[in-house]
Amino acid sequence: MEVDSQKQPQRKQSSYLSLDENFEIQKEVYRGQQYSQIYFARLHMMRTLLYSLVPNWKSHLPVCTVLGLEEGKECIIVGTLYKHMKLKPCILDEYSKERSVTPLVKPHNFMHQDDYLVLEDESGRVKLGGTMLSPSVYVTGVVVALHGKETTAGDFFVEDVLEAGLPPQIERLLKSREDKYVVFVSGLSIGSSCSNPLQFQLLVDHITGHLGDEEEQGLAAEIVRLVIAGNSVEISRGLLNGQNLASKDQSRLSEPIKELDILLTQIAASLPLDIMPGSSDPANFSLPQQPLNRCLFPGSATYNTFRSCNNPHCFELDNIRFLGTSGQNIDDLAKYSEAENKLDILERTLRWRHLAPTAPNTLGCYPFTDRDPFLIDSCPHVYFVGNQEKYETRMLEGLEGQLVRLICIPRFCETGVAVMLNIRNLECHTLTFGTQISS
Amino acid sequence: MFCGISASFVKRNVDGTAARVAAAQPNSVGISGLSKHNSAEGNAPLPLQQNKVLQSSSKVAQQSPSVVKDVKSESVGGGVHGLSSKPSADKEKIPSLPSNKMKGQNDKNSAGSGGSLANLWVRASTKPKPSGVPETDSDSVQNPNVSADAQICAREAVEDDNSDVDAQEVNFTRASNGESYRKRRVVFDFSDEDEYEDAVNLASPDPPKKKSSLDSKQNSKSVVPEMSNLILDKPNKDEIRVKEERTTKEEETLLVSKSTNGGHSSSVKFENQLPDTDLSSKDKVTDAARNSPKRRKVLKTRIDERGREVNEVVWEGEETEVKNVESDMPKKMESGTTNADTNIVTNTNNRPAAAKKSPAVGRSAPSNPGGKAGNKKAGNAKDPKQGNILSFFKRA
Repeated sequence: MEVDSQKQPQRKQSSYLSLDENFEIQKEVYRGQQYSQIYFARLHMMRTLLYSLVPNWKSHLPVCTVLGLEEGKECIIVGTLYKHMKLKPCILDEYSKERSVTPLVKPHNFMHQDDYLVLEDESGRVKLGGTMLSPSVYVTGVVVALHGKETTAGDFFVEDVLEAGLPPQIERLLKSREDKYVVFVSGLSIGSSCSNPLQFQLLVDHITGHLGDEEEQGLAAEIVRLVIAGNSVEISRGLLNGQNLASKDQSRLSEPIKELDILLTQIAASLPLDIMPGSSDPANFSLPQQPLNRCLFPGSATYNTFRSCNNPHCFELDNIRFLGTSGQNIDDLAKYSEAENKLDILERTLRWRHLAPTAPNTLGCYPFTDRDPFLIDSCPHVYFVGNQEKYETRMLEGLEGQLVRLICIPRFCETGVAVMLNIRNLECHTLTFGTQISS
Repeated sequence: MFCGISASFVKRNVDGTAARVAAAQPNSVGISGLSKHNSAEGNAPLPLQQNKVLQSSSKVAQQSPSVVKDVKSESVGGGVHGLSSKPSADKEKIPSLPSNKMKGQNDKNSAGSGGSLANLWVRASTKPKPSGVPETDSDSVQNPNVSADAQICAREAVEDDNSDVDAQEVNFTRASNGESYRKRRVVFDFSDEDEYEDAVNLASPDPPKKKSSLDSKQNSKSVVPEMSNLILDKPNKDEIRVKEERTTKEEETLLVSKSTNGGHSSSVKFENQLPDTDLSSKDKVTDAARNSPKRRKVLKTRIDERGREVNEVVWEGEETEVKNVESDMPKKMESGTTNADTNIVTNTNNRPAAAKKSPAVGRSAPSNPGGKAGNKKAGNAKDPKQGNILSFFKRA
């Protein structure tokens, strides 16, 4: 008995362009450098940009360097913000003889009311005063232009702030009027105690078209890509303490990856997929994370639809630009600043034109020498972050007509929720999978 | 339910050639996201189809979730693995299926395939580097058709690292004991040294060669026969080589302290402890050392031309060793020469050209703590060769 091939819907396709070249580190050479160069590159790029924006903002004011400040003289200075935080963990505290009983690192947030901001450029630094610039919003590493004047106390009293704002966006050329979907999922955490293999299998079956009637399968055929935004496996920490592993433990170590590969093979046989590394995946620690090695996926990597990507990940589908991370950048920002929700933090990073301003201060990153790859020079149409507590989304509008869909992708192992985005109109909805086996 | 979506653009790389994942058999049941029936390129997608059938049929006959999962994972694995084998037209392929895994597919599975995906992993962890040597040992045990499989194994091991053929049920114990298991070695290409002159070598060092051995038990065993050979040599050579060994040894441990402590090591400690630990582990070295004229180690501190504090351990009469324990911790360590007899120790720069007399020093030394950690518990701060970082913060 053959299934009638004429009625079989064809999976839709989209043109794909990877823009991850910026996040590759193969060509980088480590000469023992520290992080001053990446900060300098960041300052240089952003300052050039801000200098071009200042005339439109306050053209009557002179621009000067920090050392060139004169008391009482109103001017504009451009530099990198540094936030002095009382509660920020310091490595030397671990060795201090006066250690108290309380644990050194608070997991949630290191904010304190005594935190203050400092502006720094190559010539010097100056403490910032005034209420315009809230230390709870800003973090170390953000480059801004400030309008104000030096006080007698030697502080710089801030009257106004100029952020870079949303970068320019390439106009979205609608290739076709048809619905095409991209599915986002993150935090599969295969191998952890909370992950339910049935749940992910359900997701796989759904998007590969194994479930439902013809109509359902027709909808599934409109999914053109699956993006897995990090933390796909969780390897038991007990096995990673540096001890030699017994042979029976060695298989435990690779079990989660094997399971993931099996599932990815099912997906790759059916539609294109991008897998990004996350903080718990077997990839390097510092950003930009390099793609998971193909040898980890002997089954799925043989498919041309399988693609192992960097974190952060930037790509274009039908000329729609996607940019996103597995969550480390946003989580770190949440530790060192305050926001109502994660979408606000996402929005801030776009306005600051920097994916991860806290890198390398509190977020591990590679010491680039000639560039800062996390600078956002072209506004994406879809900006996502993985491994968040819950699903959130918002459409952001820029001053120059930019339209960005912000998406917080929840952890699948905890929520069973994947996100479906229609690239025709940038609308989002969720796919929720539950597996309640009634007794 | 069968998969109702066809995706003709999906291609699978089989043995280096991209093959469209197509349906070859007309009487196959169910399409699982594969291309249309009338595709001419049939490259063994059958098992995948069949396993999808198995998958969907097992779904229909609903059982407990764990069973479903097991069947699915195995069948998927089997199917995938089947895909990794050669096309069905290849007569050489012998279907050596572990029968317990592929029960329902014998009639349909004419394109021979190996075990499940899990075996693919087992194979990947136990098979040696593709060197063209057929694994006749492992094959002969489980597979009566040794020669053909061995050939295929060898060929495919060379051609395609991703896929695997006829993976057998190999134990992990075999991996550690078997002769076919070889330690993976990292090969460094130093061909463009000029461009990367000042690049820091972040890679793990090679394990130490026999000549420059560490004071761990396993190495001492390999050293001993070596040393016995040396003893038989002329005394002059013996002495020189022993000296070299010793200085090498000490340089290594110095490097250990350097790289792990970041410059805050207490060099005085070394002076006292080095000779002891040195001599205790290697009897032959001790003998050889006693044969040489008695020397005494003296620690001298001076400032070199670059403003760095240099601690020298000087042997009375013969060579000097330079320990660059710097107080200001410059990021790049360069070799400083004192006199012609000096053994130069370079610290973080582990290039082979840097160390004059003991080329293996730079690469072998940092593995010392790794070796130690393997023998002792991890995080042991009482390693006598390294200064304790806590000593920097004096206790009240």
